[in-house]
Amino acid sequence: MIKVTNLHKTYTAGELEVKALRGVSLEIGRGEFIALAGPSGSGKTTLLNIIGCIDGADSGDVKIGEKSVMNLKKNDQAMFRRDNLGFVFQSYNLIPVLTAFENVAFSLNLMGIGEGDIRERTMAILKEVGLEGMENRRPGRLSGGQQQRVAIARAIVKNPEILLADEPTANLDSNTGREILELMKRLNQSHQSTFIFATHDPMVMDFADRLVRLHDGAIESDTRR
Amino acid sequence: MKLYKIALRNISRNKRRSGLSAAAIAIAAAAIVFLFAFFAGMLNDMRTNMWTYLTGAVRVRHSDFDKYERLNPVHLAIPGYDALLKDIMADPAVRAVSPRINFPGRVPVGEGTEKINVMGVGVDFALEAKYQDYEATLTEGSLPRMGTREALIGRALAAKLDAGIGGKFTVLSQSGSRGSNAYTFTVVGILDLPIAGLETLMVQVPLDTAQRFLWLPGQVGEILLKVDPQVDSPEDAALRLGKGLKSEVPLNVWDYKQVNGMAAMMDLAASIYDITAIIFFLLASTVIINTTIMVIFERMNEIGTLAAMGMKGSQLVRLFFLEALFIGIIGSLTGIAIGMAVAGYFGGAGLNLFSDAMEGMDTMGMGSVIYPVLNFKSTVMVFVYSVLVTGLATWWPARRAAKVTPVEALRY
Repeated sequence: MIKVTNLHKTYTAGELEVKALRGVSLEIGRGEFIALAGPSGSGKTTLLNIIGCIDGADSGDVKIGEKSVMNLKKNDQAMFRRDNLGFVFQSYNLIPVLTAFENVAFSLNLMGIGEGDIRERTMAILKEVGLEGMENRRPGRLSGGQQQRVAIARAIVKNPEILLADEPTANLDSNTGREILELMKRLNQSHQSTFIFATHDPMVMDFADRLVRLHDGAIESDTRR
Repeated sequence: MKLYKIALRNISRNKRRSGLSAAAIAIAAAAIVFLFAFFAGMLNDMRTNMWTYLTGAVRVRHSDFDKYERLNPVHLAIPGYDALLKDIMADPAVRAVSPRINFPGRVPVGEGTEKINVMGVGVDFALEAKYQDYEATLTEGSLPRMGTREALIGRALAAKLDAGIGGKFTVLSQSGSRGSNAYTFTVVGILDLPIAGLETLMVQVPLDTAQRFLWLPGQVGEILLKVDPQVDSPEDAALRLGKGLKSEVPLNVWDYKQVNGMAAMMDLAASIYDITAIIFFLLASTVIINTTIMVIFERMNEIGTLAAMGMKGSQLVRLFFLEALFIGIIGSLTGIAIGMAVAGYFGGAGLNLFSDAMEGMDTMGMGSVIYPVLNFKSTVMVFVYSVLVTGLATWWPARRAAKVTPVEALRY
């Protein structure tokens, strides 16, 4: 379903050139729960961002379904992300002026879905992530774990083909991190979305059905469980 | 969740900063509403005073008078003006006429060794009462009777002459036969004139007395007219009268802008006010640009998140634009309300800024007390300008923010 072919990406910082990806190729099937792991600078986040269409590569190709997403125009990329991808960030990245309900609903607003449908789907997903009764709280009045649940709800509410999570447990204590991972695993099974993590957290790696280790911009190992 | 709701909530995120932006717009809008009202009041005042005391909306003179004006050609008068007045009054645009003789004179004061300059004006008080607003200016005494040597003088001149009601003074002047003459007049009324320069000079006497004094029986130096601008402009009225009037002597029928070239500058002034307004708004827009840039940098990570969620660049621009629009609307409405209140207050009370500075100056008819006049059209324009400038000031930084790639924005 996702086919990454010979991906190269180099960052330049002043006169310094950093090769983030050196010919990465990878295939990910529908509904997989996969972790891209590796130390800092290994290229895991870069690969995640390129698959998520929020960053570009120097060469190579990424196909999602039958569609090559590398050469999409900016607006088409935005619409592709809106309709097919969900993101979960390390720092939750919720909109502080919106309530939990509004943060989740806004994803559907962008898709132009009717208000009635939005309400129904948002309430359902908030219940599913365990935030029933907290819909009207703004992020400032939620704990880290609760904020990450809102972020996950926001990403999964539109039933994306792919959910991309960059270090989703890094800001959480281990118990909360485990709860979040259990939640994501459940959602992976119930929504049939592909979950891709960029992480260096061993607990995430343990949860993953497939572990792809990167080192210096290349795939070091690819293990299925 | 509509974009405008998010924009409204974003405004309340940092109330102090949003307030600062709104205040910048409010100050600019208030200043411009007041300035426009002040300038409109000033122009109205100048036009009214010029028409009343100096040039008329249209002026009829002997055509050679203007050529030799510096030589005080009193003898270049208009004979048989009664018939001329009838023709002038028959014109549909003419609302009032003032046949007059102007005569510069000298008045001895003290022991007689010192003389002060005066500007004598012989007027027909029956017609003049319809031409100028004596109810407002004649604050003491009464109008002179025709055929007498009674006079009205400006309050400042009365102080110089040390003459109140019943006081006497003698005017020396050159007559129409190029000789000299002197008449002693009795003060029967004191004028509080809107032009400080005129108040120190003006002596108004009955027209028939002035005719005898200047040896100009049955003649006037000029006829000033007021026209109804709703019917016709002074320019068109002057053109029409110039073609139609018949006299024993050649006539110049000029509108006030031809009489006083500076009056034509009044039209130019309107453009200068627009430029002033633009400068004010440009200054205010720098605050908006600064604030928007600050907000964008602060919220760059959020911009990245929204972009990752699939928000298009145009939607991001619209979000920031709406925020600025609301601030602009709040700021401009507040500013306009303040500007209107201040202009309204001074519109009634008057704003005396120049009375001392303008004494004895040629002020193009500008009064020493200005009464600002609010204009609905210009007030609406201020609102439109304010909102437009706020929007434009936001557009550039918002557009730049929308061009940043999501991954770059998320790194902030």
